[in-house]
Amino acid sequence: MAKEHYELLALFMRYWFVFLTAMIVWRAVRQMARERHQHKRILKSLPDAGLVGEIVDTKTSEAYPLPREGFISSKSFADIRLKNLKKGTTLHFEFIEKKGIQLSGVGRSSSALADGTPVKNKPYALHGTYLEIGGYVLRFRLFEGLNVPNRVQKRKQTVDVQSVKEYSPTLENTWVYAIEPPQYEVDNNIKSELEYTVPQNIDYAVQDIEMQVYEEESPEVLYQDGAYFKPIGEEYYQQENNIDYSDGEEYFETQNGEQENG
Amino acid sequence: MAKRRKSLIDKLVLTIILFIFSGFIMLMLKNMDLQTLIIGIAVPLVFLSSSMLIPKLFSADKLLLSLVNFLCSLGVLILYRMNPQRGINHAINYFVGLIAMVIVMLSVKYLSKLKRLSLLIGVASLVLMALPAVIGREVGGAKAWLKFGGVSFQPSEIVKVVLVFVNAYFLSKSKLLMSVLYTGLCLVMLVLQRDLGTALLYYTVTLAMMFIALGSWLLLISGVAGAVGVAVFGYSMLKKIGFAHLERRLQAWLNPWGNYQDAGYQTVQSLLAIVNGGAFGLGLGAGNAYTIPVKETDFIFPFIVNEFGIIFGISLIVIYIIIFMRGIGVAMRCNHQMHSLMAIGSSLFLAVQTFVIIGGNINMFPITGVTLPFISYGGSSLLSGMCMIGIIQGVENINKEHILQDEILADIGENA
Repeated sequence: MAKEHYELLALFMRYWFVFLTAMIVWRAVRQMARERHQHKRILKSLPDAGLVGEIVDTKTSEAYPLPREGFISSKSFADIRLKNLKKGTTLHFEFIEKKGIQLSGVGRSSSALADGTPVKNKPYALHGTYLEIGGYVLRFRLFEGLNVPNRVQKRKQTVDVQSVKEYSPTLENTWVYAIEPPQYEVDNNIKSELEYTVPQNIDYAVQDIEMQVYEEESPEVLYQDGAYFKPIGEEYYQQENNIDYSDGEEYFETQNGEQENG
Repeated sequence: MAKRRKSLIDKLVLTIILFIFSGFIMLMLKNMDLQTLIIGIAVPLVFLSSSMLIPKLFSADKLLLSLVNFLCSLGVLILYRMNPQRGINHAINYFVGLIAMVIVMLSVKYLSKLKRLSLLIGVASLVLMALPAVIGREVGGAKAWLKFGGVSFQPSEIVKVVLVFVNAYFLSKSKLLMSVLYTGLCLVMLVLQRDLGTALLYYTVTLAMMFIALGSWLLLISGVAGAVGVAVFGYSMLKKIGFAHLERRLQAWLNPWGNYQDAGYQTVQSLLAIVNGGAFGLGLGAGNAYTIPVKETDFIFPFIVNEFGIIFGISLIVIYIIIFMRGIGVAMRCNHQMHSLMAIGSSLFLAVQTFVIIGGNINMFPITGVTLPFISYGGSSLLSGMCMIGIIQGVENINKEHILQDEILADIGENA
C-alpha cells in the first residue's frame, strides 16, 4: 500500500482503536461492578462466610468469630483481640481440613494450653477444646459440617475406679462428672479427708454431687472421689459465721443417709 | 431455538480480539507480507484460547486473565510494529508466560504447606541474586543480567516472585525479623548490582506488605523516614560510591530541557512523543517516536501514546488500575493470611512498577529502569509478571473453594 494511503487509513483507524479501547475499559468496569454485586449478594446470604466457628470466653461468655486463619493477641492486627492479654502474647491459629484448628505460639506465647497441651507442641483444637491463655479460658465452638474429627475426651484415668467405689459406694455414678473438662490431673492417692490440704483450682469442682458435711470436718473444703469440692449452702454459711448448734437438733446426714446430731 | 445471549465477559474478549486483529491487519497492509498476517491470526487465537480455555480448565478469573492477555497482545503488536523479530520473541515469551502462570496458579494452594522449603527457596534466591554481581553483564549502568547459553535473564525479576512468597510466609507467622533480614539481603544484592530501580520496588512492596500484615504505623513511618534518609544521604555520596549514572538521571529529572542533548535527551524525546501524539495519536504505524532511546523496554509507553493517543494512554492506565483493584479484591476476600499477603504483594509489585515507569516516562519521577508490565520487551519481566498474575489467580481459586465450603456449611446449619 502506498505510504499516503496508509497514513490516511491510519488516521481514520485511530478513532476505531480509541473506540475499541473505550469499549474494553467500559466492559471491564461493568463486569467488575457486576461481580462485586454478586459477591455482596453471596455474602448477604452467607453471614458466616469465612468463619469456621467462634471462640467463647468462659468467664464473660463473650463470643469472638473464628476465621480460618489468624492471630489471637492484644495487638490491633489480631483477628481475635483480647485486650487484657499480656503484650507479647500472640497465638497463631489456622484451620486445617480433617485435623482441626492448629495452634502455635509466636515468640513468648508458648505457655498457652489447649486442653492441657502446651501450644508449643502445635496441638489441634476441636469443637469443645479449652484454650487457656494469659488468664483467659476460651472454648472453641466449631460449625457443624466441618471436616474435622470429633474431640476425644482426654480423661486422665489415674483414678482407680474400684478403689473409688470401695471408698464411696453411693457415689459410683457421680465420680465421672468430677473429672469433666477442663481436666486436671486427678490424684488417685486417696487420703483421709482430714489429712487433706487445700488444693488450687477448686473452682472447677463439680457441684452436682450431693456432698454431706459433718460438723467436725473442715468447713472450707472437702475431698471426695478424686474431686475437689467447696461446700456451699446454708450449713456452710452457718459454720463460717460460728453459729451455735449446741441445741442438740439434727442438722446433717451421714454418708449413708442416716441422720445424726451435730 | 432461543439464541444464547453473550455474557459481558464474552463481549469483552471479542472486543479485545477485534482490537488486536485490526492492529495486525493494519501492519499487514503497511508491510504487505504474509508473516504479519500469520502472526495477526496466531496472536488473537492464542488470546481467545487462553481467555476461554484456562478459566474453564482451571477455574481462573476471566476478567483478570482477559485484561492481562490484552496487555500482552498489545505488547506483541507494538513490538512487532517496531521490530518484527522482537514482536515474535515477545509472542513466544507470552506463550511461555501463560504456561508459567498456570503452573503457579495450581501450586499456590500447596505453597503454604511448604514451610521448610520456603527457607530453602529464600536462600537459593539470595544465591541467584548474588550471581550478577560476580559474573553478570552491565546494561544501562546496572550489572543485573546473567547470560547462559545465549539466553540472558535478570535474576531480580525471578526473585520478585520469591520475595512475595517468602515475605508472605514470614509475615503470616508474624516473623518480622526474618522478613526484614531476607529483604535486607536482597536489597544489598541489588545495590551491589547498582540496580536501584528494582531495589526501590522491593523496598516499597515489602514495607507495604509489613504494614498490611502487622498494622503498625510506627513501622510504616520509620520505613518511609529511613528510605528518605538513605536517599538524601545517598544523593550526596553518589559519585563517591560509584553511582554516577544515577546523578545523571536525577539531573535529567530536575531539568530535562536544560540537558536535552545529554542526560535529558531520553526524557525530552519521551515528552515530545506524547505531545505529538495528541488526544487520538498519529495512527498505528504512522508515528514519529523513533528517536526515543530504549523505546522497546523502559520507554514503550510514550511510543504507544504517540501512535494511539493520550486517551488510549489513560485507558491503559485504567486497565492497570483495574488489574490492581482486582488483585486487592482477591486479597481482601481471602481469609488465609499467607495467601492474602501473596495476592497483595503481587498486585503491589505490578502497580508500583507501572506507576514508577509511567511516572518516569512523563517526568514525574526520575527514570528507574524498570519495564512496563506485560507490554515492554523482556522475557524475565514478562515471566515474573505472569507468575504474579498466577499467584492472584491461585488465591482467587482458594477463595472460590472457601465460598463453596461456606455454602455447604450454611446448608448444613439450616438443615440442622
